[in-house]
Amino acid sequence: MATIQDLPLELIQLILVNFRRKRDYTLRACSLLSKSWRAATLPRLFATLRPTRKCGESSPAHIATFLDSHLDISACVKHLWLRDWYRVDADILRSLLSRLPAVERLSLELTIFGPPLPGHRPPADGHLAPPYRLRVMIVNFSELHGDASHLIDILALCEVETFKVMFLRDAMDNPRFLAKLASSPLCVRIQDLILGAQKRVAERCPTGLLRLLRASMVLGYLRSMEFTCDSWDTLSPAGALLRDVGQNITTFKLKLLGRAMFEKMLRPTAGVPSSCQHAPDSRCSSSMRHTGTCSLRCTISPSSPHTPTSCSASLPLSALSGCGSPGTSSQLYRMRRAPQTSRRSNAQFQKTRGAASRSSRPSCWNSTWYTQPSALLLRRGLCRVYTIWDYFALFLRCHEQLCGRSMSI
Amino acid sequence: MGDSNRLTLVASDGGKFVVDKEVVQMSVLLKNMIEDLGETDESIPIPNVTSPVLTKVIEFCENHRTDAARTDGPNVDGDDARMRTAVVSDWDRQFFDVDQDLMFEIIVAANYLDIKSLVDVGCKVVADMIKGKSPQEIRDLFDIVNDFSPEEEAALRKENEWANDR
Repeated sequence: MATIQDLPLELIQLILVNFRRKRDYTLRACSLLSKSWRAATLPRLFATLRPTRKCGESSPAHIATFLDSHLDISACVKHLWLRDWYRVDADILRSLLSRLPAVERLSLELTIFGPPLPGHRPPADGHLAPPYRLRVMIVNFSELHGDASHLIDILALCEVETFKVMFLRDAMDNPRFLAKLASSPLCVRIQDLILGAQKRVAERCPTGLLRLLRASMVLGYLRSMEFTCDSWDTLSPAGALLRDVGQNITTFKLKLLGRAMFEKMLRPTAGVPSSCQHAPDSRCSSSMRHTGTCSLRCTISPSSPHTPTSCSASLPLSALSGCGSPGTSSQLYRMRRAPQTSRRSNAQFQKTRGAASRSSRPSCWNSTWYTQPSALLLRRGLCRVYTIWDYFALFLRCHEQLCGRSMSI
Repeated sequence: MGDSNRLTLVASDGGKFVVDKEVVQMSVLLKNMIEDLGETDESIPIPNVTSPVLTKVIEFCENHRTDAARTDGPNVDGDDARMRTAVVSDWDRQFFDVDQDLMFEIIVAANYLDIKSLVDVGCKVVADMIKGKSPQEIRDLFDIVNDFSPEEEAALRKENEWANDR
């Protein structure tokens, strides 16, 4: 005779794996069956702790009290998700993270980072001390008030593998914000930085945050950077960040979004370094207006940090289709000519490009985005790959200006 | 001299079952035992499994013998991923269309013998029985004794509001 009560804990947990964590109340029901089922259910039920108004008063002090009185739950929380908060500061986060020994993910959504407020519950004796090691930290639809030090204080509490900022409105124009940056200690440890990923949001990448990170990140800690922008104003601080703290960076991904970005690329503006500007071409310009996005990916060998070992790009067909005229190509070609250390000689490049432009366009072009290494595309004779290189060169030239050193392609 | 491709399993109640080695090797426990024993005519005792349960387990293994290679293939990391990819066929559902005692005995035996596919299917079938039911309905279904007082249960319901299952 055997009943469900005879199943060992690991089998009950295997049964629970089948219940989704969202919009499925079966886990809750299982947690109320009996004491043994409660113990088996807790790790899944409270893997994510998301206090809301339904939990009663959701102040930091209230959450800390809840965690102190439910140590079994505190031990299960892997993801702390704070949403709909009015203000978060370093003291609040320290008081919460110190009570969550298993936490590895922190999401801050619809929050305001500002100066500490009185009344928080400080970490009690025996609780964990910073730095808190987080696998992922996400900031989304949040605001930074006052000066930069508030966010630096928060970031300094943690060692973050991946820091992802979807949307952060910062106070970049505030003189106090910038003044604090100069005296910021190098205390922020982030390995992978992902900035800006929201579509249909006016401000995608916070330039103030870029300046903040540049001023406060521990040198050499950053390993990869993924960056989405829709204006040159955000591209320049990104280059500066690369220069100052990207010594050990191995992967860089850049995504340019929006029509405005492409038009600015083709029309010289005050914010663009002169070497990055090139004369607008009518055909090129018209095609760019219809372009949604393009992206660049660059992998750099750690042994030779400023020599990209591979790069790839993707852009929609519409971006390629209008750029095929000889005038455009030679113009773009000249722009990438400056560093003469290319693995392919210029003659080879021209030969390949010439052969490619004569070849017919593969049918897959109509539906496929390119993510293959450009060198491979060139070898296969797929035409107009130079456009991808030009985007890459455009950024590199910008980077060269900002860094004051040249990079070979 | 016996067939080197077959071996005898002895259930806890003495029942003997002659089965193909290939079938038995779905069980990690038995596979390791066979490797340790080498070529032998000795029967292998299964002390924790009765004849009716062993009959069902062998039936499952014989039906899934062609899937056996999957256990040697690349392992899906973690229980979550493995359970998500586990497929319950109509045959499997019919296989578990037995009384609850036997069903749980099969699952416990599969866990003992370390037959992952049978454990996964069994747990999935049980999960399907539980899904969408209220605590009381689940208790009634499986005869689970509620060892919470009404006050404790009310407090737990309030605690559960902090869970992110909305």
